[in-house]
Amino acid sequence: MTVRERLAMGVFNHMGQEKQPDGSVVVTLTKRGDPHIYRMWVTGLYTPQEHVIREEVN
Amino acid sequence: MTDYPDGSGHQVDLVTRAEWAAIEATDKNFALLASGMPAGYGGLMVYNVPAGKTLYLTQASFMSYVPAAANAELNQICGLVIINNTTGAFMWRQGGNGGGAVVFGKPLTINAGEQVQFTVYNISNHVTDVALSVGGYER
Repeated sequence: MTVRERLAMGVFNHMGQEKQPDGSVVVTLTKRGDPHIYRMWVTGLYTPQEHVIREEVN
Repeated sequence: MTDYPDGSGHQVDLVTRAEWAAIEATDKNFALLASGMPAGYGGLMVYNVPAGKTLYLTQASFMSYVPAAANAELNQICGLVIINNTTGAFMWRQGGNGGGAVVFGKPLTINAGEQVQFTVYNISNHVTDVALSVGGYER
């Protein structure tokens, strides 16, 4: 499951967003019981111009 | 759901995952940080409620603070707005000096497929960092 899919399906307990200097937003998802942190850098989230720059799982 | 004897004289329920998902709620928390906001600007985040789910918001908090120590004793007026972007309804508006918090006596409800937007903005006359945290559950 990609990070974007996790967001679309609501598979998280906590979502954080922080705008970056380049205009993108880093979205961080965490879920209780899951030791991983799911991040994605995205522009235009939920718009027709949405573009996921990259995803990261730690 | 189906009743089953547990061997101790009690009846227990066995449910499928789909049935359990409808019963159990998932805690949800949304947090945003927007740094270096000039007067009148802020940050926003949106969330589309997944199909088959309903989002219930139970509490919200927001704050404004200054990165420059020289401005620390000034008024840090800020505001929080929660909007249902799909219906256009302004669900919550609140202002405060330094921030604020609210526990909703009746949860704010956003239905499946609808988009909720959280905005926190700087209403002071100097640059601040603004943040929000909104929580609830989804089922």
